[in-house]
Amino acid sequence: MNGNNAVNEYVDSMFSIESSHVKFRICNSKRSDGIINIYASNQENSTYAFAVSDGELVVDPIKLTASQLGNVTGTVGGMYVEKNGKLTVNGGSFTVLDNAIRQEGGDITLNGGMFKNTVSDTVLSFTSNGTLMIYQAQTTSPNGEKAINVRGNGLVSSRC
Amino acid sequence: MLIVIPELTSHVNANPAMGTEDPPYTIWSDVILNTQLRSIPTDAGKTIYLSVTSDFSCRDYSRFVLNHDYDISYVLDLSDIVSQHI
Repeated sequence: MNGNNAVNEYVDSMFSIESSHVKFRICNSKRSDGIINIYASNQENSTYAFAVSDGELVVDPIKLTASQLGNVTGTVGGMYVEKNGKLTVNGGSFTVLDNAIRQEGGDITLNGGMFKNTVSDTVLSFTSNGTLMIYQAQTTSPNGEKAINVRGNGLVSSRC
Repeated sequence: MLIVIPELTSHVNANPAMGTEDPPYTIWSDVILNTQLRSIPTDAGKTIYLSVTSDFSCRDYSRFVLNHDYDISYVLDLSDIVSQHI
């Protein structure tokens, strides 16, 4: 458990869930205005609030925002999922620089949520085998293009 | 390691329904948090509750790596955050 335990060589995160024995739930049991602020402060790598390579992350409605410190070029995203990770988002707002959700493996279920990028276009990036189930979601990108990028071979289902 | 967690408290509750819990911890860095998480008697099947009482900010690399080899659940409750700024 140390600061160099990135799930992916190019990805770092605030919370990294790496075991099938771990279930992590984020919630706001009293109000809807609780907020997590994360800041990009490196020049190259992507930083995410949460990364899941195994185990499960459940996000109940929260606010997550990201911004850059100074002249850094690194980006900050919301949730990164790979390998056998599972992500379920039940709502909330996620305003980040790049990739509100990035998938390179694993399963994602979106039951709600407003996902907004402020720098790059790809709000939801789904690029590997796995399952993407979208029951409800709203995406906003700076140029309105490629808000959702799906290139994976897995099952994609949308009931929006 | 540069990390800013103004005030993060956590407490362990083996049985939330019974309201039995340890005194809350005030945690100022991920290193302390990790140390405490390791020292907490986290038997299989327990839930660890983490609560944030002010803005929860993370700069640079972070660092809560959850990789236990026994079943355990975490709840990060943001309900006690008192302000927001960005």
